[in-house]
Amino acid sequence: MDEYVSEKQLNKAPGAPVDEKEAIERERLAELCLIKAKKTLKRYMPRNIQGTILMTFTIVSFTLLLLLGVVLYTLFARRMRTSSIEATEQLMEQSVVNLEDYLESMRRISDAMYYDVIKSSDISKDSIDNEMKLIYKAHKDNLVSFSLFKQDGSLVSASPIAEVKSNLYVPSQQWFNTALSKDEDLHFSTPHVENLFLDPGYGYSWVVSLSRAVDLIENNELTKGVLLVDMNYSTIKEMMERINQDSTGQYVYLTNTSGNIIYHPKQMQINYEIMNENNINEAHYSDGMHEEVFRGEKRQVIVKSISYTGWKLIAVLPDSAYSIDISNLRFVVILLVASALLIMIFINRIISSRISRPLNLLNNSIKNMENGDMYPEDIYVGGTQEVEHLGRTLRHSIERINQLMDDIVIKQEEKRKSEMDALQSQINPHFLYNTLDSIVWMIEGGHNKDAVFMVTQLASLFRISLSRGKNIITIEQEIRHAENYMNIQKVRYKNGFGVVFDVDEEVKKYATIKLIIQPILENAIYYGVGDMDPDDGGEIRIHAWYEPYNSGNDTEVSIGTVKHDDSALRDESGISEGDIYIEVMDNGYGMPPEVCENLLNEDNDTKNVVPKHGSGVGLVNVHNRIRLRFGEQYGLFAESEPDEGTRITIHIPAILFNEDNQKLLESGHYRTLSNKKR
Amino acid sequence: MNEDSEILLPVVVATIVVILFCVVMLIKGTGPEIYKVSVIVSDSNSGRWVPFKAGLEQAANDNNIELNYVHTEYLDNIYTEAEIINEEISRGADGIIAEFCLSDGVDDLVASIGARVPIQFVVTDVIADADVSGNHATVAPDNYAIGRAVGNELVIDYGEKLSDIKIGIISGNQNQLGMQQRLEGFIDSTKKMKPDIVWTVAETRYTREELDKAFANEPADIVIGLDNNSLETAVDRLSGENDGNVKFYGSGCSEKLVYYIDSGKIDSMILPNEFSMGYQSMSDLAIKLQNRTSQLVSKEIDYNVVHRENLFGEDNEQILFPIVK
Repeated sequence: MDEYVSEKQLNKAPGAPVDEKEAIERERLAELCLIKAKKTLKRYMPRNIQGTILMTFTIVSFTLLLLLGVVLYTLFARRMRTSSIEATEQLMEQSVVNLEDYLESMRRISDAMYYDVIKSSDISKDSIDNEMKLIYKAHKDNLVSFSLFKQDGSLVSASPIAEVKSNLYVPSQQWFNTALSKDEDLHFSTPHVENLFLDPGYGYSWVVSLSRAVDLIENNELTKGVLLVDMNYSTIKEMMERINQDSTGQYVYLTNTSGNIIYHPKQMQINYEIMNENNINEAHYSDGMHEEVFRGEKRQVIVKSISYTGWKLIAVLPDSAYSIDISNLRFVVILLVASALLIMIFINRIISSRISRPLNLLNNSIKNMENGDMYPEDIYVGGTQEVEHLGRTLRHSIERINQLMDDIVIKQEEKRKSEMDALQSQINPHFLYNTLDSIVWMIEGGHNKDAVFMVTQLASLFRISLSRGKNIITIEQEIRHAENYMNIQKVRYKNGFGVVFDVDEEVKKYATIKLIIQPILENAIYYGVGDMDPDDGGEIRIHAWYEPYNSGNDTEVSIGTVKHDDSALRDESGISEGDIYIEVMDNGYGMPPEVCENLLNEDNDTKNVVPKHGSGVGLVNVHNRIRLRFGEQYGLFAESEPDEGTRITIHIPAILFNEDNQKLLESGHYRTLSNKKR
Repeated sequence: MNEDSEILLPVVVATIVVILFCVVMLIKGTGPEIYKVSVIVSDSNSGRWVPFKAGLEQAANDNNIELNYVHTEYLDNIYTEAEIINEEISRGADGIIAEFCLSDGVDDLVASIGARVPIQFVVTDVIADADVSGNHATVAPDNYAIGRAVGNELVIDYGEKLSDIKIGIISGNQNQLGMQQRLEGFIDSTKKMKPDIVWTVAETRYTREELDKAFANEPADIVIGLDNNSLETAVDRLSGENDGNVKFYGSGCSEKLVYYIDSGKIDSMILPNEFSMGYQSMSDLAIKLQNRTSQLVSKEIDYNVVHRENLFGEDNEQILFPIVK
C-alpha cells in the first residue's frame, strides 16, 4: 500500500524539476527501506506469548545490565585513575624526600669539608689530604671523587688520589666557572662523565658535580678556590630506577631548572632522538598536576621541585598507561555482564515458560475444540489463578454446549419421531381401511384362511410398530415388520409383484431403528412395481448383510460398486462390530439421475420435488433418523436407472442388540460417544 | 522440543559462551607475546660490546623482547658459531642477532637459519643468496667508509709525509667482508700518499705473536687497528716500542681505547655508533617477529671521529659511555 502511494507520488510529478524528482525518489527509497525494516522486524518479532515475554524480559535485563556495566566500568575506571594518580603522587613525595636527603647529605659533606677543614687550614702549610680522604672514605659509595682547586685551576687536594690528566684545563670546565660566578651558592651540574683524573683501570664514571666557591687561606692571604664533590650518578640513577619499575607506561624523570635531563628511563632513546620528551616545557610547570597533549597523546604530568637544587621531579602518566588495567577491567565487566545476561536469559526462559505454559495448554485445548473435540475433561485447568479460571469457565461452557447439543439431538429426534408418528397416524387409517376392506372382502368371499392370514400380519405389523414405545429393535423384528407389510400389500395388489427377502442370519441379531425398511418398501411399491402389470414380473428384493470392519474396503452392491473409505467410515465407538447393509431393490420404472440425486435432499423433500402419494413417509425422514442416531457416515444411498429400477441401500453400524446398547441408542448418546472415540 | 532440552540448550550455550570468553580473556590477559632473541658475537664479554649491548638491552626493553646475550669466547670457526646458533634456536630463540666470523660461503647456513628464524647480521655483511622473504638483513656501519675515515685521519695528520712513514696494519678478521672493506677503504684513501705499508696482520688467535714478529721484522711508525680488538692489541703490544713513539690510529669503541685516547696513546679513532647498531638490529627484529609479513631491511649506522679534544663532547660521551637503565 505504502509502495503504491509512493509510486503515485512519484508519478504525480512528471514535470517536476530534477531536484524535486530526486527528493521524491529519495523519499520513496527511504519509505521502502522503512517498510522493509518493518517487515524484517515483524518477521523476527516473536509472536507467541513465551517468545514475547522472553524477549521483553531479556531486553529489559540487557538494558539494565548494560547500564550497570557502563556505570561500574566508569566508576572503577575513574577510581583506578584516581588511585594511580594518588599512588604516583605519594611515590613522588617519597622520592623527593629521598633525593633531598641524598643531596642534603652531599651538601653536608661539602659543608663539612669547607667549614671544618678548608676554612681552618692554610693550604700553603697544611695538608688537607687526610681530612679529605677521611670524608671520602666515609661516603665513598655515593662519591666518585672529592677535590679542591685554586682559582687558577691548579689542584690543591683530591681524593681518591689519582693522576690528573695531562691536558686538563680546569678553568674551562663548566662547574668551575659556575661556582666562581655565583660564589655564595652550591651548584649541581647535569650528569657527565668525570674527566679530571685518569683511572688505570680504564674506568669512566658518570657523575653529578656539586661545586662551590670557597675561600682559601694561602700564606695568610685569602684567595678563592672551588671545592668539587663529584657525586656518583649511579646513586641517583638507582633511586630513580626504583620508582620507575611500573610497566604500564607511566614514568618519572628528573630535570634541572632549565629542563636539561638529569635522569630519564629512556635517556638514550631521547639522546638518539628515537623518542621525544617535553622536558623543557614541563620543567617550567609549577608544582602539582597538569594535563597536556604531547605528540597527539593526552597525558597527565605531576611536577615536584627538589629543594637546594631547583631540580624538578616529573611524573608522566600517559592515557595509554591506564589502558592495560582499564582494558583488563573492561574484560572483567564484559564477562560479568555477559554471564549475568546469560543467567538472566536462562531465568527469563524459565519464567516465560512458567507463565506461558498454562496459556499454551489452554490454547491447545481450544485448538482441539476447534477440531471438534468437545470434551470438557480435555480442557486444561491449571496454572495461575486467572488461567485456571479461564479453563474452568471454558470447561463449563463446553459442558453446557454439549448438553445443549445433546438436547438438540434429542429434540430433533423427538421432532422426527413426532413427525413420523403424525405421518404414520395420517396413513394408518387409510392403510388400515384398505387392509380391513380387503379382509372384509376375503371373509365375504369365503376366504377365511386368507382373512386370518391378513389379520395375523396386520397384528404383527402393529405389534412391531408399537414395540412398547421403543425406537430400537432387532433387525430381525424390522425384517419381520417389512415381511408383514409386504404380505399385506401383496394381497392388496393381488400379487402383482414378487417379494424376495434375502437376509443373512447373522444380521438379525444386530440393532436398528425401527420402521426404516417399510417406508422404502412403500416407495418401491408406489413408485416402482405397484402399477406394473403382473405379467411384467415386478419384483422387490430385500437383501441384508453384515460386513465386519476387516472385511475389505470395497462393498459390492447390485448396481455398480460403492467404495467406502473404511478408515473414514469406521465407527470406533467400540460398540460397533462392522457395517450392516440393507438393500431394497425394485425393477420398476426407476427415475432419472437428477431425481435420484435429489432423493435424499431434505430441501427437495420439503419442496416435494419427488411427488408423494400414499404413505408420504419419505426417504429423507429415514435418512435423517439414521444419521441423527448413528452419525453422519451412515444413512441411505440411492441409485436408480429409468426403466431399470431403483436400489436404496440402508447403511447402519453393526451394533449387537442388548439392553445396554439399546439404552445407549435410545438415549441418542451413541453418536457423541463414537465421535469422541474418533 | 521437549522441556528438558528447552532448559538444557540455553545452559549449554551459556556455558560455551562463558568458557570461550574466559579463554579469550586469558589469552588477552597475558598481554602481547614475548619473543626470545639470542645474540651471538665473538668474545661476548669484550669491552667493545658495551655500547652495542646497551643498545640491545634498551631495544629489548622497549619492544618487550627477552634478550639472551650468549656468552662466547673468541669465535673464528663458522661451524662452532653455527652450532651455537642452532642450539639457541632449539632452545626456543625466535630470532637471532649474530656477528658472523665468516662472510663468504655461508649461503647454505644463512638459508638454513633464515628458514627457521629471522636473523640480523651485525658488524659485517655476509655474502648470501637474495632474501626474498626478508628473513635476514645486516645492521652495520659502512665499513669501507670507516676504512677511508681512518686513512683520512692519517692523511690529515701527516699529509705528504706519509710516504716516508712506515705503516703496519692489523686488519681485523679478514674472513669478514666488513674488515676486507675497511682495509680496502684505508688503502684507497691513503693510496695517493703512497704510504709504506710494511706489514699487514690479519686477526687470528695468534695475532699477538704474529704482530710481535712482524714488528720485530719491520718496525712501523704508525700502526693501524681496523677494529676494536686490533687497535687494543696494537696499543697493548706496541705502545712501549720505539721509545713510545709509535702512533696508533684505527677504529673501536671500548673504554680501554677511550682511556688510550684520553692518555694520548691513540691519536685518533673512528667510533662506530654501536649503541645504534644494537638498538636498530633488535628493534627491526622485534618488528619482524611481531609482524611476520614485514621484511628485514639492511641498515647502516653512522660513526664519529674521536680524538683527545672531543672525547668528552656531548655526542661522543653518549656513544662511548651509554647510560643504560
